[in-house]
Amino acid sequence: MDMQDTTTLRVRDLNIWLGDRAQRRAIIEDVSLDIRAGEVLCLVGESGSGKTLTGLAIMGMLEGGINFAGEVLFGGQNLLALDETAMQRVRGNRLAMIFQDPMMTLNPVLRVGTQVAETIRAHRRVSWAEAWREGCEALRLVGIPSPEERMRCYPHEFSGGMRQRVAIAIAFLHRPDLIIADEPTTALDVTTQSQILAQVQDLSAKFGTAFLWVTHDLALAAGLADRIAVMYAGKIVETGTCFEVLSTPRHPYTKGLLNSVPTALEKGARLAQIPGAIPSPGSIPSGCRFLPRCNRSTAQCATDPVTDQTKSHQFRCWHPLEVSA
Amino acid sequence: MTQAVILRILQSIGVILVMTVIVFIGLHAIGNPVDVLIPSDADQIERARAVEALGLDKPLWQQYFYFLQGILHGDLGRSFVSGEPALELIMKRLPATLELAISAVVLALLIGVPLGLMAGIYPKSLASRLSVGLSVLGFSVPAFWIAIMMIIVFAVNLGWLPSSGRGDTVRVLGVEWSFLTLDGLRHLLLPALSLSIYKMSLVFRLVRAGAIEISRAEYIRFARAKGLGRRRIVMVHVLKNILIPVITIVGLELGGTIAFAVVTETIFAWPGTGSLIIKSISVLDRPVIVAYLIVIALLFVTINLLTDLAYLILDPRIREKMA
Amino acid sequence: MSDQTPVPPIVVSRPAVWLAWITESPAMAAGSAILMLVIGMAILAPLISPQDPYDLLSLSLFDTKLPPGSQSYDGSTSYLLGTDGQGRDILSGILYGLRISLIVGFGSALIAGAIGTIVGIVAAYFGGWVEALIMRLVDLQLSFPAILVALMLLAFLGKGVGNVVLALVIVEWAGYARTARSAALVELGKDYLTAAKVSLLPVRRIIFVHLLPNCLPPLIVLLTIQVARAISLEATLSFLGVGVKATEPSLGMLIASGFSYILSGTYWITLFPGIALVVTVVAVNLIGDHLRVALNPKLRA
Repeated sequence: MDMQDTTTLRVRDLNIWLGDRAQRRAIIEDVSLDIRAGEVLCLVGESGSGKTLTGLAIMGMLEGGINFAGEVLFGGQNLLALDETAMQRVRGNRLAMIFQDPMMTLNPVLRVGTQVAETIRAHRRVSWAEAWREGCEALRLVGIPSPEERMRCYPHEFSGGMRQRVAIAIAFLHRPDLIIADEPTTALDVTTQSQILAQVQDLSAKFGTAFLWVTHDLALAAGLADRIAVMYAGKIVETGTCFEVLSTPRHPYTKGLLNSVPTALEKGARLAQIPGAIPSPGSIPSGCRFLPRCNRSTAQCATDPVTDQTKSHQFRCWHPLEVSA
Repeated sequence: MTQAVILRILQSIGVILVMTVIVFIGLHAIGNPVDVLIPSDADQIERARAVEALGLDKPLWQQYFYFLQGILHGDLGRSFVSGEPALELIMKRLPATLELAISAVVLALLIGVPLGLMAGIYPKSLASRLSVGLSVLGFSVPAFWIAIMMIIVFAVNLGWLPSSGRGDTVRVLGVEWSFLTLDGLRHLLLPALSLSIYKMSLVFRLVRAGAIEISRAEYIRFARAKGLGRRRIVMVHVLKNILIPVITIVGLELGGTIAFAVVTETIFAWPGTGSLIIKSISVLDRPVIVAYLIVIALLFVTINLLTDLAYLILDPRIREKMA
Repeated sequence: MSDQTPVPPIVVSRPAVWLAWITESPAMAAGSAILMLVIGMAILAPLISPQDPYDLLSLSLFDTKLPPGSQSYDGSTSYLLGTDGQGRDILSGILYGLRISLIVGFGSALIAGAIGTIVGIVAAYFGGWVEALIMRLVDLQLSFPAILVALMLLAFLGKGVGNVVLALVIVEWAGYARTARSAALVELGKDYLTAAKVSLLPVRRIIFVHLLPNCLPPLIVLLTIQVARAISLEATLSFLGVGVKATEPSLGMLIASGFSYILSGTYWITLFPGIALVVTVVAVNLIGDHLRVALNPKLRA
């Protein structure tokens, strides 16, 4: 099987750290990911595990003072090697991003239409009138009623769900190959959440858009993902198809996460929890990072586990859970 | 929206009324109003006549009513010194003061906003750190001292610019203006610059703080993710958000600038209301002082009103709330 | 393996903590050092100044407007910073002038601070019409520039150190009241004060023991800034001729006395008192700037 042609995004050995050589504090270590065309990869983990930073690194939007190394191959070029001007042409065009809090992602003092149209004009030489008209169509596409009127409104006149629809419309403007979605539904109520999810799934099916969907919500990932990557303290500890990871988790951390998802069947029963807390950058143990919180650890765990990169289902553990069935 | 504006105007009229009460009480509480309104060298008969003419033998509320009537008719007594109507004296000199104050505010904006943006967006650059240091100086050094130093350096030692008066003026719309002639501009530069240093530091700090805060906002991150260039992000997304507090401060500070022009005008012998009031205070020309206070109060209230209206236009969220 | 080794508490004496805190920022260290020096010089003025500027008998008509470094007419003293139009030694004038400037600056800021803080906290604590009345008054006061209000008050009150302090207190109290009220409102929303209120402690005790200490940080910052502002405002008023009397010359007065000579190149009468003024105000502002950052937990993070 030749994966080369169909791979939209290929991240290799992405490292992000703070500080200089003497006092290096790793935040992301040796992260490698592949996302194929039209595929949804859910990057799952607790808050503080480095999911958002991974997304920002791919966008080339890490703040100054944060160091990074590795390769992000997208559209035939290494994004990490591009300068700011070249990167601007990629952002919002072939590669887009949606953020977590819809109340904060739109500029409060600019009309919604301006914020849509300026994105078009950033990438194509069209008049404001033309960009505005295209913007109306984009809003219609994400199910915003009477877009001609809504374009002239300011963000505060929109509900949270409507604002997130605007952000999604902006992300889809140039039919990107990949959208990085950083928990875009977490801040919304449940009914809005499911409407927006359905909308996004429709659009991505229609345009063949791939997604890197960052979330802490395994239940959401189960309904959305083609494949899942589980991140813990800056490392990917398990990847596989949605079915592989959720039905036969091999890493104890994944298993722990699954056990802490409430289900209707266990009503009244105490939810399982993973003891301890995620280590902060700088206090990460050498060897397996999950070691302090793991109940299967042995002396071998003091060295970093290796993964078998040839398999579809990969896990970073010396003592993986058995495949039960 | 119209309703909000009308309400705001009514409010302003209320403030002006309160101000007239304060000035009126001030006239009565501090010293005998007879002394305040009648030249001290007037004889007994003249005094008695004046007391009757001014209604000073009437009850207090009636006197206030006369006072208010006087204001409405533009009659605030005559200057003890020149004998001219006090209000006329003030109004004749007001354009010079406004010219100075507005020039100072414009200078503060022209220099403060770009420097503040730069310092907020590149906080670590040398120029930014230098500007921050200078702004501390600009805050600390009293305006009159800056003015004196400018005279010593630019007028006395270098001889580049004149240090007193308005220079040549041009009559436009029945008022003399300095900024329309080269000589007038040369006379305007030092006073306006020395008056603007404080505001400049203020605008600089405000814009810098705003730029730092807004650059971290999620919507700026989203704007970058859309592929917008740095220019568009800074000049539209950041600047438009900063403009709202800046407009407020400029509006509020225009009043302060007019007040502080008293100092600058005295030093540069600028023939505005400020140098007039200092002279009037030194000879206790009270009708002129009262007229000045009433005019300045009116001016402040008008400026505050205009600032609020500008705010209303700029911030869609407030527009919504007021509607 | 979760080795949470307890950190041994560091025992330091209080002065050491203060010293460390002051030297933490170079601006703060410089500001404090300069202010200490200025205050020290002002206190010791009668001992260290070469001449008593109030003693008119010691002035000589032959020694007027001498440039810096000149010898006196009779050769008995040298004027390090020159003399003014009356033959007064500028250095001595500055040392004595600093006393007036500092007394006015600190005096007015402290009195205004005490009054404004209590008024603000009372407004926050009692709320209702008390608060509404006080805050309308504050708004009105703050909508007129300090310089203008002080100028008018002094026009009616007349010159003098006491009157200048009074005028500055009237001008400045409102700022403290506004800050104290907003700080107190934040504190009043917290549980410990609800607990104190519920436990029926006397109002005076709640305000002074529980509420006031927790409102202090922003007020201390404001106090520092207001000291600088008051010193500079006093100088301005005295320069304009409505401040202190000629018999008790402050720095602003000295600057004014030299102003009429600057066009003839006699710069030192105005320049040196001005430098003393600027250095003092900048030192206080440097401290204020540091306090603003140090006392604000939000900015510190």
